[in-house]
Amino acid sequence: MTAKDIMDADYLCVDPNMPLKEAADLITEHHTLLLPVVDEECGAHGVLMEVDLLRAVLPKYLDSVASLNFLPDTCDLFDVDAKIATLKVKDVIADRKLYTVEEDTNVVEIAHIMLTKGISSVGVEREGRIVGVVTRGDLLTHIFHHTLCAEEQEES
Amino acid sequence: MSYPAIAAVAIFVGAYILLATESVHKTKAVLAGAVLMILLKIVSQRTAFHGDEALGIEGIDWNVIMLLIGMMIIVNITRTTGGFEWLAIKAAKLVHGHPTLIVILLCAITAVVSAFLDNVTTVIVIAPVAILIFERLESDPVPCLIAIICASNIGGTATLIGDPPNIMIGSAARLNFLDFISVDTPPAVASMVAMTVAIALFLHPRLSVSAEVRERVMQFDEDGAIMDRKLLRRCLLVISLTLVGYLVHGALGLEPATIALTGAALLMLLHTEGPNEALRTVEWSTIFFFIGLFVMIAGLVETGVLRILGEGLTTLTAGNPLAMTMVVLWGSGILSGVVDNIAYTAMMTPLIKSIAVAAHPDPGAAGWAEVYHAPDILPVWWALSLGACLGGITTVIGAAANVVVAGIAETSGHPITFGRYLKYGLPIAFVSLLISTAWLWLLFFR
Repeated sequence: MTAKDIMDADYLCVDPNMPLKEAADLITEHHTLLLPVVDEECGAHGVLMEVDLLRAVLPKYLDSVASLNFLPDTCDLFDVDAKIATLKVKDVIADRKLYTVEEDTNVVEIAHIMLTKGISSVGVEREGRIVGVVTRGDLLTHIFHHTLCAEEQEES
Repeated sequence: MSYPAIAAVAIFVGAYILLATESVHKTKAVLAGAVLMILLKIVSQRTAFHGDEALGIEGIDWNVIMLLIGMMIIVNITRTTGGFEWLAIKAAKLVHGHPTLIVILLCAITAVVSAFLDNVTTVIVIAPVAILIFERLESDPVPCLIAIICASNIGGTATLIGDPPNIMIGSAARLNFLDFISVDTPPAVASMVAMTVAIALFLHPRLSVSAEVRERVMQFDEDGAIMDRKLLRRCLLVISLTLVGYLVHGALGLEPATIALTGAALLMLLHTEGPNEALRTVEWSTIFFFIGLFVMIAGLVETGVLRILGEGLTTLTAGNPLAMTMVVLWGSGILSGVVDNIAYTAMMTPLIKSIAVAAHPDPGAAGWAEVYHAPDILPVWWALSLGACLGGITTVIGAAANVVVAGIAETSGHPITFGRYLKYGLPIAFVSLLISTAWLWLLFFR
């Protein structure tokens, strides 16, 4: 079993120049953890993660404050329109890479990559173009479905 | 100059260029320079690591290293309690959200905390709270942030443990905590007063906020900032005991590093977390920067380079102690605005020692203090301390705390440009160096 057998070829992706607001809508509507960022030729550009959206509204300098519990309820730091209106996807993804595998990569290797790199999705590449995405969900469905099927076959 | 001396200078200059241009991280640059000094046998590992009293080489100054580590542990554990944020918010509410008074109080807090704890840690905690307060007041936080930078440098100047140059000078020149209180604290306090007057005169007219907006600051709940009340009480106890330790370390014949490590050990014992968590907060990159620097300086001393530079300085000032004090004060002040004042001070301490030895008629027979605390030499140590610390105010890259606040300002969407900073930093540095000039003259030359 390889990447191309379990990948989602009809995956959601975004352009690096897409306004962040639009990408945020995609992420929240589809409840996805991340979106591959691909350029016009479908080459991997990076990955936009949920955490990037959170970081865009709550900048890093506030991490050094021990607690923000002193802020009153009326203090809305999440001033989304002011903070992300001018931002594009490429402004917040820094230089984080989209992990990619070739379409003939073994699923065991994909599981290994996900565990050791601590990532939840990999892009599937054919000749430098992203042709699909394998999420942890896809992989788990495959592993457990596959195992169950094998057990059923044994029983019959 | 001999071959080893030329090689030592080449290594030092090479490492310095890498450091100054930031083409390589400064710790990597000095560590590479340090090992080259030993690999090329410019200085032996034994001399570099342990020093050589007879040759006047300090080697790695463990007093400085351990003091830094001890204080880093204390401050980093304290930081997690939220106590500093509590103090900043309490101050803002105390003055009912009045912006000018907030700037003045935040500067006072920053200066006092920076005098006893690490400058960078102080500003990392105070600056974000200042930004939140000023955003709430719908005012530009940049003037306040610049004032906080200046206050942290001035506060750091005031004590032996306030700023790395002072820690190095205190150790190399064997000046204790009370010596620093009696010589460095008065000009630091005077500089803070001058800055406060400047804020009231020049910043106040531009900071007007309606009573309604000021009320928003009163909605902050300072108690919500405190993460761990029990730990905060323990931290305050340990910091107080450590300060008492510093006040009496000279009288007890204990080195400052012993006091810092005692405080750190006590706080680690009182803290429920394991030692790894406390030790992980030590900025090892900074520690190895100092280690590398000390080894490189050992190479420069061993080969006599710093003695030659010292002779140059003596010739330049015609051996006149007042002239030498002023050249060191203003030279250090100007240089520290543009070069790393830690690297600069590391080089200057052995240089001043070589001047002391050359100036004494019989350094071999005389006691340590007779040579290095000679009436002509003592003011030069203080000129180095005041110049190197206060000079850091001048530019936005003058000290580590400045760079850190500029970074915070940038990510918060209120960037501090080089030029805008200079408009405030340059006059404040100039006035504080003028105050120091008058003070050193009053103290030593009147």
